[in-house]
Amino acid sequence: MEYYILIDGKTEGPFSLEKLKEMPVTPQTKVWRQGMPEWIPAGEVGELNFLFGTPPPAPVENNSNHEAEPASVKIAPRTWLVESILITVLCCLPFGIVGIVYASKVSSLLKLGRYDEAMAASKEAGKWVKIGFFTGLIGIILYMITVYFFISVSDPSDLSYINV
Amino acid sequence: MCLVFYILDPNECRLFPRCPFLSLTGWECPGCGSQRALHSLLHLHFADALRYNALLVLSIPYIGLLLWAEAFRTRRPGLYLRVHKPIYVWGYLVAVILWGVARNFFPNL
Repeated sequence: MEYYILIDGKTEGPFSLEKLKEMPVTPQTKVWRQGMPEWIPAGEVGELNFLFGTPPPAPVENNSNHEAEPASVKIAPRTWLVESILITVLCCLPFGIVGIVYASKVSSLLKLGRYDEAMAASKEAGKWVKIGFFTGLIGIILYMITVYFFISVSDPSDLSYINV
Repeated sequence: MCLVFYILDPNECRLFPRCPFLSLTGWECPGCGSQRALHSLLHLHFADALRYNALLVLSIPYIGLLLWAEAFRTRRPGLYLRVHKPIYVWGYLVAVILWGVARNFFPNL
């Protein structure tokens, strides 16, 4: 199906659907195709929704074994749980624990449907994960620099220490 | 990263930092031993890995699941929610704290 579009009061086209993607069509742009009684805004033409980033509706799936998610499931904000766990276990305990606490808050708030608060808790969790990560990184680099200079003046066979 | 932890043994190489928490307090934190555990795991020495840090080793399946869910967070939001049920997340938090306390009282943990 080919469409004419009205740009600055001038009729342009006809354009195929493919070609329309390259045109400056907004939902307010008037369009017309063969068979239409009059020009209407592109936003009201179902066939043109793909131009405006409107996601296609979820396909109806009768097969219950199919793994597709129901369209109603909202995308959850990141809980930062796995990052927090890794930070806890691999370098920076206190920041990681704070991260896990916030991750718990995110998941509880999501369960209660308090999406905005979950979003805020998610940001907070992310903040602590980043603080933990960079603290750990800087710590390890400083440690390695120190060890590098320290080793040269001490007995390298002294291994009486325990690692993380 | 894995290569570094495979080749160098944190028991013998000084480049691996000692846990600052342990240095400051003399108490083992929940993460202590994880570098040695990682080294052992990469050499398939599972018993040693468990001895160094059981929490890390036992968490690996859940960590893997979480990473998988995170990779598909936008495409399969339901999966993300299922692995982040509050009971799991709070449970993990409690497990980390209990583990951190218990390992200091039971030296064979």
